[in-house]
Amino acid sequence: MIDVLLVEDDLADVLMIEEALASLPAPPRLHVATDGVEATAFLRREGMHARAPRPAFVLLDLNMPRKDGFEVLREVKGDESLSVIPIVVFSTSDEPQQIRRSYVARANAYVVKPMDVDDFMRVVREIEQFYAQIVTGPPFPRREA
Amino acid sequence: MVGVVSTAVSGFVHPALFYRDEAEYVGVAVPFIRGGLAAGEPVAVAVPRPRLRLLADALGADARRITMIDMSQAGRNPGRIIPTVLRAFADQFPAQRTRIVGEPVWPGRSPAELPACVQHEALINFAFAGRTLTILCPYDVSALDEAVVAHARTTHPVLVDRDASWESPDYDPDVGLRAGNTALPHRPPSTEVLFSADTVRAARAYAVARARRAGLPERRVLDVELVVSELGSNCVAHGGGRGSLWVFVDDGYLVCEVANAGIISDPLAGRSPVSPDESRGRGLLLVNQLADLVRVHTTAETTTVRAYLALD
Repeated sequence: MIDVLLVEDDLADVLMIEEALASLPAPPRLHVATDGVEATAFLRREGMHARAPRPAFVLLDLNMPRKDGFEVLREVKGDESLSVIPIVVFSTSDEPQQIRRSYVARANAYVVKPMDVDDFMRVVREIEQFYAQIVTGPPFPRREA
Repeated sequence: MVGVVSTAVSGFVHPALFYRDEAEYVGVAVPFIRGGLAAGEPVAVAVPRPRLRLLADALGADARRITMIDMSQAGRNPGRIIPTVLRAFADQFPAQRTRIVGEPVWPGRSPAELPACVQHEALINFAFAGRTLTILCPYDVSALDEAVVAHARTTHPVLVDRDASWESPDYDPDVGLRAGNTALPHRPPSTEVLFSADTVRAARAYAVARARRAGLPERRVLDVELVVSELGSNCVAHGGGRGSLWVFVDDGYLVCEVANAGIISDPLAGRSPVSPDESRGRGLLLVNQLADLVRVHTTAETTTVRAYLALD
């Protein structure tokens, strides 16, 4: 079973993504951070997250309170111990500037959230399947896995 | 001595009554109740509804002189029995000796409930130390699992059956406290929602949405909102500022589980009535009132609280 960190403040999207992943034959363990501060605390294993697993990938929204997606990208990709974790930006925005900015900040992929619910669910499942079944993820030291 | 239950002592007396049938139940409980009435002591009976009926029939007109409480409702969550049933009655009579028949464990209690019952019975010894009352706790030894009865021997300093009363050689309430603080049952696969002071509202909104999706009656969705709000606030205030929430369905219950890096050092937390002028201590007390079962597991590093709300 893989772990997925979802960084998303929109409850409706959280519930849809949760439902899409739960419908997979082997659902991942989903961890939800509703802003960037919670996300980086989880990845850095701060406080009660001391034993948090390393996610196979992060699904990251851009527009969030406190610490937005770009700040998360910068922090994670700027941290040697975390930078190898794949980050998929999952945003409603299809503005080229946002997309370019995300890749400059070393996002591993940028996916525009489909407007159609069925497409939305399918895309979430396909992202998960890609990282769970096709990609060989970065190795972490055993104690960190 | 009135019946086999000794009441000729001062202070707090906490006997377990081991009965095998209705005759033994009535044969010990009724003289205990009538002895209290004869001594002018306020008496309450908090037992499951069928046993209430049995005692009411046996007591006849005397039944109107006692307070009767359906324990299967008032004490469905063992965590609220001390504040809501036992102290709610005993505290009305601070200058008088009182008597209570309290039956928190009955056949049909679920495996998830039993550790909370054991913990409750152990905590009674601490909650009422120094008080002047007797709480007689009946145990149906013909139907309860032997392990449950064995725990009753550790949580009650005195044991009673139809013939005699004797000191329990196994009495050690700390054993009961430990039994109630065991690791929680395995959690089914479910989403972890991370939160802190700034995001506890989002966690609460997630719990409410999951409660509705799980089919929790709308009148109880507000209970979920309050439960997660109180547990979340406790995490923020006493649990290192952060917490994690899981919401899942388990065996007919919607379960809200909250974990944080805090440690509950007071085993009576959430079980002591709070006066209106006190600003702290209400969180877990309120959760105990709202939930049908609350399980707490505290380790040297973390505290996990699981609140169960029946889906039916």
